[in-house]
Amino acid sequence: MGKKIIGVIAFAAIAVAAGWNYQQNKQNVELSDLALANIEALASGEESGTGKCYNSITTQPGSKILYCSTCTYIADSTNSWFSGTGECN
Amino acid sequence: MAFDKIEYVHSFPKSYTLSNEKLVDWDLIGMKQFRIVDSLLIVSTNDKNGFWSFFLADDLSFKGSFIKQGQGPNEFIYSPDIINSSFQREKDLLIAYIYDFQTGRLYKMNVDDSFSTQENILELTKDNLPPFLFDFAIIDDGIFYCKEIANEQTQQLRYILNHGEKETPIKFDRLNKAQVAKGEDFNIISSITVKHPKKDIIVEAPITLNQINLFSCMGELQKTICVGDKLDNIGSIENKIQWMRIYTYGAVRTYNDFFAVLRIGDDKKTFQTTRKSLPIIQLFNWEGEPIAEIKVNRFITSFDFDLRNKYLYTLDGPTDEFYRYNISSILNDIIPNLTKK
Repeated sequence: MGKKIIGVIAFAAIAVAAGWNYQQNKQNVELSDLALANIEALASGEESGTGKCYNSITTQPGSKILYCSTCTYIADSTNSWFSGTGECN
Repeated sequence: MAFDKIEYVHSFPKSYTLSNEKLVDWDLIGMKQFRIVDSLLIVSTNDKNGFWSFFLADDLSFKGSFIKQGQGPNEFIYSPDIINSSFQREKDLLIAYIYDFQTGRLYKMNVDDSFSTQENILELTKDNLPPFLFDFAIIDDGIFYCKEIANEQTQQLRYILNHGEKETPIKFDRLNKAQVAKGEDFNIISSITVKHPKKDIIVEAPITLNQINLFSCMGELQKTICVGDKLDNIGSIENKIQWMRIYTYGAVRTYNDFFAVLRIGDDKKTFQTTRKSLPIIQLFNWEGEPIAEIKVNRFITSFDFDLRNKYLYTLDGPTDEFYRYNISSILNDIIPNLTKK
């Protein structure tokens, strides 16, 4: 009985460790993608962003908006009232 | 987002309604902004071969288009902000200092030499600024006013960049405290900010709040003007759905005797669709006292006074309509001893 419990605990510990390792690897991949996107945006000289973005934008002085097509902030612009939204990662 | 000293404006001593406008018939399309500097009328457009077009304000004769789109030397990805660019006379030549929001570079354009050569005489200055600033103004040689987003896009922080060193005057703390909830539209605390070319005074007109902040960077001046009975509350605006939020101020211009702001007054959806409120140009003296309001008889998104010729020009971005009003009688009435800009 005692060996069985130790076995279960050992299995659970291995599973947690494997899961943690997977998450770390996943985060590394995501971080690399994000870094790459940032590098690309910086290379093009545009301000990249993450989070909620808008598919359609229009002019508004003083306002900045995250545009889905490029995942960059566009100055003096806001979202059009009919615009759909997306996510920049 | 206000100073301790708040002055409430319930009415303007003088009120005028514009009429008898004259349509300026030219071929410019995609106009973004315009500005009158000395004897020039400068229009920014989306024309990638020359973002800025220059005209003589007297007769609107064309002087040239400059500032090309591109990623090469002396090229810009987007049309640079014409309003926050600083125009100065140096050795009798008109010089424009232009901040590139995408790179943080500051360029010096020799406007007069560009006219005579029809080449863009542009050089990079030694000043390196942060890119993507929300607001920017040149205070002095090597000294800049900056505003940038911070704290997970919940705040916009104002500071002075003094020869590369960041300084935050205590007076900015009151304004910098303003914060939106995480994930909220940070443009609730965005503003249009313009510095008078010679005075150490900055006019900050938020695009969603019913107030104007007036302050100096090196001196003591700090006051808030509220046009209404009470200041708009950021939390109350956050509680409104985005389309019901009021678009308050759309443009700011400064002159020797006064500054002027364009009050829009429509909610965001109405402004983008049917537009109901005709805009009002509100004039204040440099003490922040109201001088006059000028009610515009059509929808506009931008304006500027040509004080030499006593004209008011208006631009409506969505329709590309550009109008000229003869306002000599209004200007003579408002400020009898008007200083030419």
